[in-house]
Amino acid sequence: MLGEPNDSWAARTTAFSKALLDPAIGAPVGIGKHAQHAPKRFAVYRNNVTVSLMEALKSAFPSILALLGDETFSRLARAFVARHPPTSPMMQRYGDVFPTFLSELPALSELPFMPDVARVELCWLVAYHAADDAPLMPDDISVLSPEELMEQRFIPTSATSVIASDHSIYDLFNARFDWPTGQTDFNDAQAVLVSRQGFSVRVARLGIGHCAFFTSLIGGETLAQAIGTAMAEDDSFDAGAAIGQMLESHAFRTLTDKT
Amino acid sequence: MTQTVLDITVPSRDFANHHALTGAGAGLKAEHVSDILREKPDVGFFEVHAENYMGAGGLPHAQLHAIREQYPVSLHGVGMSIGSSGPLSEDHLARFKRLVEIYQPAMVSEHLAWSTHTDVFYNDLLPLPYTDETLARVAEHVSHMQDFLGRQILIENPSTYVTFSESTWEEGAFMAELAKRSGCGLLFDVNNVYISATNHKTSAEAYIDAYPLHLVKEIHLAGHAEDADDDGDRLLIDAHDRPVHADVWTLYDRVLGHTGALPSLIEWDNDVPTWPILAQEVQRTQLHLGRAAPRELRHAG
Repeated sequence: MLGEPNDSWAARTTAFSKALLDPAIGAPVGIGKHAQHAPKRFAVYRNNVTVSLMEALKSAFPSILALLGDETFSRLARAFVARHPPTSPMMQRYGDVFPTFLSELPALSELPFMPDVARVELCWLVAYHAADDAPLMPDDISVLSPEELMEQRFIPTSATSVIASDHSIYDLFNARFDWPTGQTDFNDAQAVLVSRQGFSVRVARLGIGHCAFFTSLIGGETLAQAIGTAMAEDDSFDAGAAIGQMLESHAFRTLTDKT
Repeated sequence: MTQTVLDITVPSRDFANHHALTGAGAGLKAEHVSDILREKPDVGFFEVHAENYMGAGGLPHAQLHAIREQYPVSLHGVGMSIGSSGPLSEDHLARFKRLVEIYQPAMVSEHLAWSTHTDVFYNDLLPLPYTDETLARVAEHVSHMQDFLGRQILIENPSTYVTFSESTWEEGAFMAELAKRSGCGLLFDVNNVYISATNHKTSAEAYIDAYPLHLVKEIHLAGHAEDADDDGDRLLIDAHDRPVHADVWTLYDRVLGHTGALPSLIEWDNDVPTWPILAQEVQRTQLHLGRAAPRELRHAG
């Protein structure tokens, strides 16, 4: 928020901050070495701001960094920082529009999978910092009759998300651990479940049926509806295995709010 | 009990350890937590950057809980933007207060700097001119933060690369008047003093001797990088990426000669070394503290 028009400190910070993110604007007058013009000194602040934000993006998107390499990633990150500087000191949220930014870059049109990989990375970060929700345990549902269980709706934990893509996002996400793999075709449609087990974030690959199943449950459908949706998508859908993954992944909160 | 103020859902609890900060401490790095919990080193306290623990839950909070169960903790804000021309963020104050409630830090501190302007956060500690206008604004912000948290905070002197033509106050006098108006305490960063004095060709010794050291409750030590300015003159950068410089240790002894022993922290935030290397710097700090007079004796004089 700007101060009063006569507020000289507000005017000063406006000039200072404009010059921070736009190198085309010279260092502000009356700020420098013994208050005299000193572009190299002002550039220390400019560099601190841009480089620290670029480093924040490298930490947040290690798979994209591995896929693009440091030089290309740094060039994109520098452009992103100039166009989308953070709006909050909550830096763990910085980069939430990075996938959209990547999708609009003509230079990446040959790599159409990048935005979806970045979305998986964002979901990983959300899961990492998410509240410590108590997960649904086998005991929570073993007390229900089969009929009651089928009519049950489940609430996902705040760490849980499903991302489906036309591209090989599971393989590409794993570039943060193991790259290059020698793989050259990334047009295998893949879906992932992101969840947190204890303090570990898990990214699991989902088949077509399981993807439909988890998407339906997260969308608030009953277990019976989710199984129906999944079977319509995938003849070989195994409901028992899906319920097993539902419990094992800790993707859903306990039925009774114990807190 | 789980409280839900904003999005932080970590339960608050009573920690057995309510001791004040003493001796030599270290800035807490996530990569050192398992070593620290296993070895239980003799470290006076750990300091954390508040903004790193403002997520709802997960590993960062689990690690800080485990550390806090065994050590006093100080909470060091890097994003409040006390030096802003505009108002403080009420959301950020609420997030900060929640951390104070959960972790019951022995001390809370922030910087004489700004990082937010017109809703952009610059992720750096940016400098301000020292004028009657900025003094009034900063004192207002510090008072507001203290009222909001219900406790005193410490304000840290900055490292700077530029000065402003409109400044009418010396930095030390500005800090003394800030403390007088707001009732805040001071955090004295010796490395920052050395950096600014070198960069502006002033005397670090004179700065220390004139500083309101009786208001200082904590000291920071860190390493710096060296560059050159537009004229090829030395320009020191506050990098926190290496051991403390020999000249800074000498200035530290000078400060302790004035103040007596004070809780002192090693900050090492970039190119973070293994825990044993950082622990050596903490031990070295403890040796300097051991040679300083106890603070009570100084106060009696």
